Amino acid sequence: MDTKKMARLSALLSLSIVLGRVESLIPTIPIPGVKLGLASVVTLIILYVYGPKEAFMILLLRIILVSILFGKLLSFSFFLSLSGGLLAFLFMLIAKKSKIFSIYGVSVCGAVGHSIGQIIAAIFLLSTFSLLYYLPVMVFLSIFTGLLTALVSQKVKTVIEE
Amino acid sequence: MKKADFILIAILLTLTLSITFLFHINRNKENMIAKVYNNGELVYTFTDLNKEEIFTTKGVNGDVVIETKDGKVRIKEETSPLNICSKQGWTDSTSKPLICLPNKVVVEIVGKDKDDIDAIA
Repeated sequence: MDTKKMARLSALLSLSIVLGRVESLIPTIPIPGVKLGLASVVTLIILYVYGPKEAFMILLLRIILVSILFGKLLSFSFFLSLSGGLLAFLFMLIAKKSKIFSIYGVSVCGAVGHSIGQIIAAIFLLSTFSLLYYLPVMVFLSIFTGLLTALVSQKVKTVIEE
Repeated sequence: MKKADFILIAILLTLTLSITFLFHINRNKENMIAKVYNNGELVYTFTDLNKEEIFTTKGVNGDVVIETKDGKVRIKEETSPLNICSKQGWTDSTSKPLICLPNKVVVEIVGKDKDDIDAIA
């Protein structure tokens, strides 16, 4: 890994940590710890600029570091982030590999995966299926966050690639 | 944006909106219960408002007959000077309780899973 790449990945990692923290302050639905998925903008950028290996690494680092920094390691919101982040990554990877979507479609897939992953984790942790009630609302919201993150990623991607 | 993107977004929008809509309809009809209070004490709970059911409780002036049907509830018969609560007719709203002040009988509709959501929030 050359120095330039390392520096860029570090900068992106710190950016994603700040985004992860900021978005945890935005309330979405009445389940504490559920996030919109704005931090996945960084995952998306790295996925397009560097590749899946780097994107996965930064994603895991981000989730663990956010938990350590804000005193939530192995807590409720940590598992929500982990489950949401991993499923979002998986969805984005599949969508990108299929080659039928542009960055917008890939991002929307990721955002939807993020919502589903968080709900699955919350259902296990709270052991109540009534949380499924929130899924359509969350998926609906994630369409728009997905489009937003794609827009931002698109702009950043062109700057990095120049 | 590619064509597949638009198709994906369109599918997701229709899916989420229609499911939310369906949830909304079912929620109002199936997740409601009606609680009957006599002189401040809970005397009976209608667990299914869609079922035809009649419950009679003894109020201050005489029997108060409460009926449920098609997701709604009403006071069918009661004895009071103005008969306000039996004239009020059917209600299916949590914000419109049936109140028989002379008989000290109150019927209120509440969500069945209200406690679940409160516990999480």
